Amino acid sequence: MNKAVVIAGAMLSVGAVPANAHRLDEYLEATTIEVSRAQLRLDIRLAPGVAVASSVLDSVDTNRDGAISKAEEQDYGRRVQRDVSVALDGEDVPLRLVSQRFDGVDEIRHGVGEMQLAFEAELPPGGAHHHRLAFQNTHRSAIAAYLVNSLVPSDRDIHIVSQRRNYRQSMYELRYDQDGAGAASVTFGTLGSWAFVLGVLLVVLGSKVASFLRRRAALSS
Amino acid sequence: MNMQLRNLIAAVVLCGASNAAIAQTPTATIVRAANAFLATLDPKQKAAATFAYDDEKQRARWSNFPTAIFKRAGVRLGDLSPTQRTAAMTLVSSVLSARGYEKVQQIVEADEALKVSERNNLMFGKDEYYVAILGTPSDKTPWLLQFGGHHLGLNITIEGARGALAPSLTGAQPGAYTANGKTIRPLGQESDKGIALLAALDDAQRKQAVLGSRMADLVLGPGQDGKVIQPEGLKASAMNDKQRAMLLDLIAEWSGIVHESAAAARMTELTADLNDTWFAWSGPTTPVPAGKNIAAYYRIQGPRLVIEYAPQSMGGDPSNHIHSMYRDPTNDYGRKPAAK
Repeated sequence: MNKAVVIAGAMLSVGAVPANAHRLDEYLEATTIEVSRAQLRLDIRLAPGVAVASSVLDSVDTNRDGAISKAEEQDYGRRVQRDVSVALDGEDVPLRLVSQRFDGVDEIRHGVGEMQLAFEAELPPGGAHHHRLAFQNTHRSAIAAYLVNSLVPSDRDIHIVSQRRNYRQSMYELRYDQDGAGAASVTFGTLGSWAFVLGVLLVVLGSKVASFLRRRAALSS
Repeated sequence: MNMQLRNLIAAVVLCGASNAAIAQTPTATIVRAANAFLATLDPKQKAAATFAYDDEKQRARWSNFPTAIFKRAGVRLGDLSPTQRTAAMTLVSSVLSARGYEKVQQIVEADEALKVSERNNLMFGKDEYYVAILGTPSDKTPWLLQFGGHHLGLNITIEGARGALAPSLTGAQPGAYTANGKTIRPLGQESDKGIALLAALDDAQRKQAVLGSRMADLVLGPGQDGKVIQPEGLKASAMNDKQRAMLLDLIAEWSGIVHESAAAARMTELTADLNDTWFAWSGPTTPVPAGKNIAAYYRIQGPRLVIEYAPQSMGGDPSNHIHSMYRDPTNDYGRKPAAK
């Protein structure tokens, strides 16, 4: 959904939107998860149906001025953040809200608007070769229609083994393997850094030896 | 007749034959139809119908929603004269197979039926479909034809002999209607062949294919360009030959919408990928009566393919309101570099 949606004028020209043209009494909460070696990203797309949109808007447009301010977007994003949880291998992973994009109030009120939230988290380096990531979403569970999927990892060291969900998709488990875990914190990048440090040490050592040899030659002459 | 003159005549004849061969290619026919359509438009209409090939906003301007809710750009069929409208539909038919064009017409007619059932609501109906051309129609350089409205979003990139349909959305509401005494189901084959494939699986295969969770909507619908989700379900490498043939036949309901030679090239790709293609199902698994659509979601996903079939439960019978999506993660909007 984007700004191309022109609700108000359209409503005037064609009459009310028929109920069966779009989602009604559910709040679609579609999450995609992308895991890399060091980071996790969650993108949550929130699309309330027309019958529940007012109730959702009440908790977004909290000052009821008919517009959604940046502060209200962030407040709502943080509320969603409190209702979702991620754990990696049994350890809670703290998320941070990194971006949000909301359609206008009219679009949301008519059941055709979306709110998009993005969260990121750092993942601990190394660790076990096999990983289990658990995700839970309880946001507005009375009206929610949840979807959750993992994206194909762009990090070639990550290999997804399985995805499991409960019927509602409010709970999700991702099992994945990570190549070169543990020892693998040595990457081409770190190897390059070590080579650089070694090179600097060799240069410094060479320069000291040369200096020593020059001093000895001067003394003996 | 001296040798030089004979050679000259031969060259002219060969050149003519070669031009005739080019003139008969599907791409040449499509380009002619595109130029013929553009020639019917006045300057204002032509400006509205045409966009730069790389106009990313226009590329993404398609949806399952009616046009009054999600505004399209291009020229609206309802604003065209009969001659212009005929030229527009000739263009659309030139990029599609006979079955593909029939399917598109049935989707549009379903919207007309919806308009009638909604007390002639002007939000619906066959006037509410738009044509747009991105780039310059050519048989050499790429350009894109869009045709869409409620429950229809065709994005067809023409690049030389190649024709790429992805991403495209097909849907229907109502999922079944009556015309001339016949029941029409625009996505009926997608429904029938889907449940037939599920029924052809043995218990162990079905256990793999059927996901235990509810799929409330398309995962990769409008606005989800560029995402590739992890495939799941049953891999075609674990199917027998008959099941694999059924899967390809089901895929062809989408890949065969584009004109026949492009569809054949696409099917060659998809057949090559078959071992890495997955079939996943969510929802009722029991057969439905003949002439009824399924109320279940299914997904077919391969390295170069994503198909989703997603009945919509929106206060009514989900089998009567269907959305479906067809994508090529490697070539949506014809982004794959041309083969050298």
